[in-house]
Amino acid sequence: MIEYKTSTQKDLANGSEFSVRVFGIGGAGANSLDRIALEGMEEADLLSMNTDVRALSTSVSSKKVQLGRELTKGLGAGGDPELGREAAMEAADEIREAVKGQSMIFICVGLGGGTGSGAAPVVARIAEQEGAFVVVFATFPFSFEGRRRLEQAQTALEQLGTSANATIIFENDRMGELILAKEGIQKAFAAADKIISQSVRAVTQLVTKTGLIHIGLDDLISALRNTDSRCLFGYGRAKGDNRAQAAIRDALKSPLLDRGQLAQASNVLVHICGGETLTLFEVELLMKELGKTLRDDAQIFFGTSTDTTMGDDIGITLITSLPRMAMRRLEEEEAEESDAEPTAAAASASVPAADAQEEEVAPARVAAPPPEEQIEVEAPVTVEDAEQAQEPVSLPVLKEAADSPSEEVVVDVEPTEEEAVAVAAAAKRKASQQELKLNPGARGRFEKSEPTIIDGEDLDVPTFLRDRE
Amino acid sequence: MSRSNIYVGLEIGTSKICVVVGEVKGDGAIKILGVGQAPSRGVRKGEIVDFGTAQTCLHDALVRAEDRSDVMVRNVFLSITGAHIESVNNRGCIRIPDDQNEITEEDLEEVKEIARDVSIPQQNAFLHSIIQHYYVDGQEKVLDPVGMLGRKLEADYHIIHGIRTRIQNTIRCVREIPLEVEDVVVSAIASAQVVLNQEAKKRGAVVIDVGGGTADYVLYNDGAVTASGCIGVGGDHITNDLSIVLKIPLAKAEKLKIEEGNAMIGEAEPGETIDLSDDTRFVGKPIERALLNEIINVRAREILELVKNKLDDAGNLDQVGAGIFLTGGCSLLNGFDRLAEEVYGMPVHRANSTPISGLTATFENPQYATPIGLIRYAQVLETERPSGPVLGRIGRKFTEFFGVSRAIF
Repeated sequence: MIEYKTSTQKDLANGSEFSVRVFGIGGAGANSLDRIALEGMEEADLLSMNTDVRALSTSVSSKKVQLGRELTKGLGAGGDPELGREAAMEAADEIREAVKGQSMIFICVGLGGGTGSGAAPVVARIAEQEGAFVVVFATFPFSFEGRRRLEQAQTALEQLGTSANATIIFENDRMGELILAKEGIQKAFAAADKIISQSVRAVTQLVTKTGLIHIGLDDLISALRNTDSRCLFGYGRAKGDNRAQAAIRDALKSPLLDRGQLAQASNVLVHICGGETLTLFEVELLMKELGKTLRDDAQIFFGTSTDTTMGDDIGITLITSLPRMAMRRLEEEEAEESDAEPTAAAASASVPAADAQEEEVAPARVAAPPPEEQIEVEAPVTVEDAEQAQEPVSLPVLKEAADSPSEEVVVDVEPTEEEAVAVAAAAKRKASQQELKLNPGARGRFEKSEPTIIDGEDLDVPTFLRDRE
Repeated sequence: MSRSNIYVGLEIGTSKICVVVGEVKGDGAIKILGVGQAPSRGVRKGEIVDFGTAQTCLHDALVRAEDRSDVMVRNVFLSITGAHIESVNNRGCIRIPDDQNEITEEDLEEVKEIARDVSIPQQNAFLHSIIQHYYVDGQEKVLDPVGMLGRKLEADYHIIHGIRTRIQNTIRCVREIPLEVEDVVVSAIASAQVVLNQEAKKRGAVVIDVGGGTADYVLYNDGAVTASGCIGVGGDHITNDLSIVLKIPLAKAEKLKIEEGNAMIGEAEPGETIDLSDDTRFVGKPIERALLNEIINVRAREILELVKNKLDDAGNLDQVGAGIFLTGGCSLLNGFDRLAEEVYGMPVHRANSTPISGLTATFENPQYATPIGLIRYAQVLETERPSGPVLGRIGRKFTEFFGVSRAIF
């Protein structure tokens, strides 16, 4: 273990010892945790939390926290985030005990359900208060699970964003990309969990192991400087003759990272880890290949280390975050295009509720009471204001709300018509935030072929469309 | 060298597969005996992605070529392309031992080995190493240093390499037809063999071969190749752009590009529209000509500028005296040459193959520059072979792709 006393950005709670703990919250979180345990993780210990005591008892992690002992009496939260939140508050002391003294907390959670969506923000908040560096791996529900779950997930994400240092999102809809079509569903879920497990391990190793060119928590923080934005993560590992090429291809293909988006990033953390056979040439090759997909002026935090346990493998970890501005721009683009044809799953949520479909408005609002309660805090805003004012105003308020997790923050306001539109606009903004694909479908016949990227520009997208930006 | 030889050039392009059968006469003249071509499928950006489909197309093209030329094709020269192909210039240097004054052929071989010894990625294989110039004791541009007196011999080589497995895949695809691959040649180099004459090479020239899926380029300076490469963007991208922006099917976009498109903007009347009927004579929504041309213009300009950037990096674009030679199917696009003039600021020629007897229509079409170039390449290779490595300007070890040595015919 390394001493981290010199770290300027963050006072590590535990002084000399750098300790990492991985939390799995809810059913999906527990699955990820099991996978991490299966793959072996000596640097960190695991803790699972659930409201459902039966699910909790099957978890392999050594430490367990039951949420809402009185409230749910050992049953699940039944898909209600409110119940999940209250359950977590009931167990606040136990959670505080669990996060105390930890330098880094990973929270693995499946958003959209009750326990995960409700409890995770509470846990993240407590962890932040205790001074830990919080990284959240959140899975998003399948689009076929319906809009309501998606909205719950988005609300939870927004709340998580205020206290987590990094949020890495995996959309379940992309699970299909991980495996062959004919492979079993078990394998699909296992593959998704594996990605999370790999990511947790990669980040842990990054900051705990010494390297030839060292990357520390400070670099990680710099790379994730825009804390309230979405984190992009790529991990690739390969062996054999072309391992360098294969590893970088793997990393760039990672579902947690889209090549086109990488071109937007201004800070990128790159860590290359290999066995003793790692050559300088391979490192150069990797960086050259990576350079093609990055902006010219991107700041690269580069680290490399050798690790005998890697054997003949070579692993590369990419971490970056998209600045708010870039995300805004993407959203605006999407908003412009959304009238054309909302594609795929996430896009379907981005269709604003108030968009000409009058009958849609009411059910949508009724269907999502929890998000409403959170947003209605700032009631008297007009539609025009909503887009700009939303961010600065609502975030601090939410922060305040989460700052005192023991109190319930539900402001009850009669929804006015103005407000309904504001909510719809907010929902639209939040919904489209999830869909970050650069011009979805704009590559036409080259959609499935290897992208041609020069200087970070995806040349398969029509020049005409790129120039107009 | 009095006998005549028949060579076959095969280009598996993104938009078409083309087989050219040519006869090299005893006096060195080339006569095209027959051409077979078929629309290509299963090829993206110059690389085969669907073996079965590509092989069917290749078979069609081959049968046509055999029919027309009345030649049974066994061996082919294969052109390859793809964005994975890279090039590098390297200089090798040796010191002539003190007890020896004259530079020998062995020294030449040795310096070549050293010059070729550049570090290329592990998975890459050498495609060509082309001599640029020799230097003897720092004296520049010696053509044939053998027999000269000197202490130090240097050689500049232009080395082209690409990813081994991808090259092997293409070769395998052809071998399964079955056809024997005599040699693989980077398509830009092949095109340059017919597009440029000695004088143009000497004065400095750029060949840009804009095909369906890729834009290949090669820069000649002072008679030697100084830069070459490939960008994975071509005419297909223009079609794709039109299809996406105008929201029309690909087939219609292709037709629109060929029949109505123009790479220059400002030539359309404001508000002028095009009604283009498709195969079923159905006229869809009218398309604004100015918009059409603008979409084509920005993409074509980008392709040309990307190539220009690459050439600028290589350094000596300002030394080019003979100008730009455009070839490949996409260069047929209206206004493409004028656009290139605008981008490069130097004379631009729509290149035709230099006169070759036979089917005139063939060599006048820039689409065939590469396969005809392959035949010229074969001819050059043949002339060089008996005279040994002195003139071995483009020769190289082909065996490294198969690990078996080829019987010299």
